[in-house]
Amino acid sequence: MLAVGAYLTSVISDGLYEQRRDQALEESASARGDLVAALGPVSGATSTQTQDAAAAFVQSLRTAEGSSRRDAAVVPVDASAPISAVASDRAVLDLVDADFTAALAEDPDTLVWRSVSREDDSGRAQPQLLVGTRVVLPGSGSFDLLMLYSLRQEQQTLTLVQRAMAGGALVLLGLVVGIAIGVARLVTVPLQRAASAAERIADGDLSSRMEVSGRDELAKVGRSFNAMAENLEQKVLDLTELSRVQQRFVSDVSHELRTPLTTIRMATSVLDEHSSGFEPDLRRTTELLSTQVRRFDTLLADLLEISRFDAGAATLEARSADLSSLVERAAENVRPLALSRGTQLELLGRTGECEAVMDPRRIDRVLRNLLVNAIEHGAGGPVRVRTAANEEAVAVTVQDFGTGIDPEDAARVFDRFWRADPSRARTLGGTGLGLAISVEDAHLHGGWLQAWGRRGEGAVFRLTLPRRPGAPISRSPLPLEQSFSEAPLEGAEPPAVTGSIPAVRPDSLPQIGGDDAQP
Amino acid sequence: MTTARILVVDDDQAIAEMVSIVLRGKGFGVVTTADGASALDAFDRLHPDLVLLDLMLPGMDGIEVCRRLRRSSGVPIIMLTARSDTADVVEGLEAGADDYLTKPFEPDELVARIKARVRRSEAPTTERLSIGDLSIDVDGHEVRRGEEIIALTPLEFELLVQLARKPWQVFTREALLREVWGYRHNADTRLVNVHVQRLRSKVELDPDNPAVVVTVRGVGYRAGGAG
Repeated sequence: MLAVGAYLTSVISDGLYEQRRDQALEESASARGDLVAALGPVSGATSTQTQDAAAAFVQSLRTAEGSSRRDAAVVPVDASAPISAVASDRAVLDLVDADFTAALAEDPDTLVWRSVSREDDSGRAQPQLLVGTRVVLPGSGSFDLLMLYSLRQEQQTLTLVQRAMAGGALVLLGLVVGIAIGVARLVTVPLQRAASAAERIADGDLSSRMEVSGRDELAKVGRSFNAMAENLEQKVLDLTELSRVQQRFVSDVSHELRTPLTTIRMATSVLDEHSSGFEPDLRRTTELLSTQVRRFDTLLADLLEISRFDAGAATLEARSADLSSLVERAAENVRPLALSRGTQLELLGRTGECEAVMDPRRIDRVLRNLLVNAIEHGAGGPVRVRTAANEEAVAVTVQDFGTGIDPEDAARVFDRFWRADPSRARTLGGTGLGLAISVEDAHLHGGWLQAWGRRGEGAVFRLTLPRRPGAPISRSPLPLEQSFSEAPLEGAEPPAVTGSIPAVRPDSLPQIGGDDAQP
Repeated sequence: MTTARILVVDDDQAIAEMVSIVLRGKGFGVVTTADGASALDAFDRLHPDLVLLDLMLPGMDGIEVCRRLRRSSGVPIIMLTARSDTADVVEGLEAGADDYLTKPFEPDELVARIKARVRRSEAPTTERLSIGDLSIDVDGHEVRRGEEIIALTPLEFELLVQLARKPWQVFTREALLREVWGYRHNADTRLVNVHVQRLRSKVELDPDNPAVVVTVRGVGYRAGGAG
């Protein structure tokens, strides 16, 4: 638009200038004739007469009608001329320079012109047109006729045009901007609406829809969006329903299985009580029945617990508790088992300093699980339990010195029904779900359960819990990798194990239950 | 001690019969019914010392039976449930059950729970206790605020007496489970929470602002001071 404006201005100003120039040249040509007529006939007149005639001529040019204001001068070319220069305004003479005089001399009978600029009374530069011609009068000598035409009127017209154009341009600019904004609105408002509708859906409000009006592309987008949202909502509803049905099914199965199982268990107990009077085979049969029923019972309970996690139905009964006290109690509960295996339980860490908000039932279950596992896989070696706390978390590690696990396998021990060695029999009749449940329990608190180990040396399990459920943990108070040197430990102070951590590539560390910020 | 009579309400005949066999073996008298309506009927006729109530019953469910029994009686009620999910258990406890057992359970566990509920104060005493602005006649199983007698179930009474006997001591939920419910291992502390609430609704002037059974945050409960 600016370019168009500039172009128009230049065309108009050129046109105005040319028109004025042509007019000026035309006038100058006639003035030249007049000058020849004025000075010519008085051939042989006195210089005074010639002088007067020139003055009168200049005056006549100045006051001539039908033309714009102009100044004129008649300048004798030769120094020996009979008259001196006559000018209506001395300024005219000042504007003539050597170049101009040379141009006049070169071609005496033509009109020479150039644009000049002269300061007016108020000091502003005014564009003017200087036209000159050389008149050679036999007898009287040569005279330069100089005429200065003011371009002020043209300048004013031009200024007016420029102002009009600038005003027009402004209006046009405003119009264009307005239209642009309007059009953008037309496009962006529906898009914004679409975006906010999409955000609402992303935030979980699946009933959110876009307003659709018209039949343009945007309306089409809106309709597609709504159709998609509709579909999504339906799918989620279906899945929710499916999950509900499944949960219900699991619950029903639980009831249906548990009732007969209760009868079986009670019957087995009654049989057990009287088994001393049975003959050996029958007694052994009763024994097998009893243990297997109990195993079946545990398996069922674990399956139900896992399915409750899967259904998202697990809830935290959280309250403030001391982790080290829970550890002591759990250790007390598994002590008979440890004794029967010849396993020594070493409890390290001070009691009463590991306060955190947790679900004691779940944590007790995790601890029991870790302890029983350690005893089971500890091959009679000691089981070392450490507790510690920092400002954001409490932690416990359970370490055994038994068969161990490969660091690569460490993450897999939490898989359901996973066995380090499939050919190895389960001696304690675990269900294979214990660690999977424990990991879910840890996650429910926003905590970590991690494993690490070395084949043939032992394994370490670490439970880290935030001081409050769901609070972020950046590092655990205890290192996961610990030395497997079996030096007996005296006292309650944890040894400085950090120095003797076996070198292990950091990327081989299993990451379970969140990012461990520790190296 | 006379033979305690137990009403077993379960629609699964096998389990009802098995429970009967076990309990008779332990010297209890047992009557079984298979649905809610006949359970209420049997209760009115026989006045058993304890009701063993399955939550899932045809027709009137266990929770409704529990509620109706509580309207007229403080008889100890132990729920049997196959679902240990929060909602079920809490609903049952709030309906007035004293304790619950999750199927499948060990016969020993069942007997221990029943014995904990039917035991009575062994030796007669003339012990009188006070807690908050209440006075307790331990032998007479009576709690009074001034002249007004407050009716409590045996369990609620025992809970109150437990706190009143050692007013200086803060009882953890685990300790109360051990002393009042007879649990030897750690058990569901919701039992304590629900029953403390039920107790408060009866003995407190303002249950939202308890003065008789005071909560000690993060620890448990203790008796409120006199006045």
